[in-house]
Amino acid sequence: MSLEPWYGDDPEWYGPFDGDAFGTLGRHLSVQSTSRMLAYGDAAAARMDCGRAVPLGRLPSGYVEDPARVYRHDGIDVQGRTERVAVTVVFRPTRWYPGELRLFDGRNFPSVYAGWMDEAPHRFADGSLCLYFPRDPVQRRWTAQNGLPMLLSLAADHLFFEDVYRDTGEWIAPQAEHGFPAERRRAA
Amino acid sequence: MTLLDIPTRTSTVEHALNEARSRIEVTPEELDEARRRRDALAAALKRELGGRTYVNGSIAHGDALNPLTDVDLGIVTPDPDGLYGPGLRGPGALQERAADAIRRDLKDEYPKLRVEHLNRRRSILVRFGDPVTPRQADFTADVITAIDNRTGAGLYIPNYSTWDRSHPERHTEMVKSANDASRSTFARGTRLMKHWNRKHDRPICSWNIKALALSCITGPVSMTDYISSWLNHAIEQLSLGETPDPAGVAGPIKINEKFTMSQVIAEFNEAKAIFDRALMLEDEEFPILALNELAKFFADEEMMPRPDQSAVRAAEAARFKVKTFSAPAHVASTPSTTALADRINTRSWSC
Repeated sequence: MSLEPWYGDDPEWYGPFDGDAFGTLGRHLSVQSTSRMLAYGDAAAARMDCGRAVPLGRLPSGYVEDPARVYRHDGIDVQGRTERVAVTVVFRPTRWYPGELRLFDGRNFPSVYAGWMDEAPHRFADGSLCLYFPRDPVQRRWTAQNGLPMLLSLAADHLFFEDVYRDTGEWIAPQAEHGFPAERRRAA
Repeated sequence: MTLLDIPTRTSTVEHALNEARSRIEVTPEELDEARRRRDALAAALKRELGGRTYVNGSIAHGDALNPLTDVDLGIVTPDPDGLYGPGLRGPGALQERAADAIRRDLKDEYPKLRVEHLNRRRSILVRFGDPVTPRQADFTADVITAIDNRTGAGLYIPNYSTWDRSHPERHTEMVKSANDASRSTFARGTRLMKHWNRKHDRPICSWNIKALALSCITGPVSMTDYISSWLNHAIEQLSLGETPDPAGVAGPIKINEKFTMSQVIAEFNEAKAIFDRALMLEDEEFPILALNELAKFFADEEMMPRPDQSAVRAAEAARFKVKTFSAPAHVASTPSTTALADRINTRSWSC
């Protein structure tokens, strides 16, 4: 059971979104609804003989369903590559970023997976692409209103930037500093 | 416009399209051989059934592609007693006589000849067992046994055991007329779009490509203008529904049953976005990027090879930096490196 109404089941949300996406991307696009079970509970730790506390993560006291709406494109063109690259876009109810206290609205912060790059300067730990800074104004980040084709366009650009970075060591697109300002202050 | 005024473009894109077109053309020798076989079939059919023959399809329309694998022919059988037609006798007996005549008259020259007419929707299939284009498996002919429509325009052609209305003779007249009016640029551009169609799982049939072109290619055009005009018109027309029969006799032309109409339109919209981007990049004086878009458009390395990809990356990187960093930092969109959509002016990030 999800704690909040899940927009991924709401035709008023996915109807127009899918209409635009499938109208533009046609047979190259597919969509699937999935879910996973997440445990929640209290943080726990064990005190060792030496006196050191070893964190044990969270002791699960319950489970919550974490649904997802997953779009797959069979291959986008990336400038300077001969093979197309498959892309997977995962929408979940919310998105959390390490170092940030609040949760972001999952509609505007999906995870985007495309290809792989070792030591990539702008990917998350799970390999998904860091396409935009979540706290940038709405004009400078993707939102669901921009539609899936525009998100895939950002992904294609991002893969191209990675290829150029691999060739030259230069990231040619605008960049935001890594992390969040508060986190950076704490680190300082 | 005088007869010498075929619109030409001296651009990179136009030059590349004409070069690519020459790579998919059928040789005169292959065409001669295909016509010779078609004439042999026509003679056999007329000896058996009388009447008149008509030609149809890519060889008759001047838009055949390499490899050349088939030819189309029809015979209009006299029916003085009015025995055949809707509600009367079906086409089976005529097809059997035609098939027997073909076997009888052509078997000596083509010992591996096979003729199939049972359980087929429209045509008798003739397999020569002898290819016209080297390294192809075979060469075939589709033979239609038609009768005149006594009460309306056009012919009746087989639909299994019944008949459908059609006007293939008028179709060929219309295409030949368009070829004449366009000084053969209709056929040349049609070849390019047919090749595109072949490399994208054939969302529509060849006849649909020509039927759409009949409405939008009415005079001499460059290959660039043919493709631009055709894609714009196809998207507009198919958004309204299936393409009507240009002769106004048969029903609308069906799309490939493996596609929905919105998928067909999406294919053409994607093609248009890539082609438009090629023209934009040419205007921006990035010819190597324009050629790369053309290679993406046709998706066929033999017909339109991709330029060196490291040079493409370098050119696109130079273009992107100039366009992005010469714009104010707060602008909402900047040039994309793809034809998918405009680019939001985001900042790459990581936590």
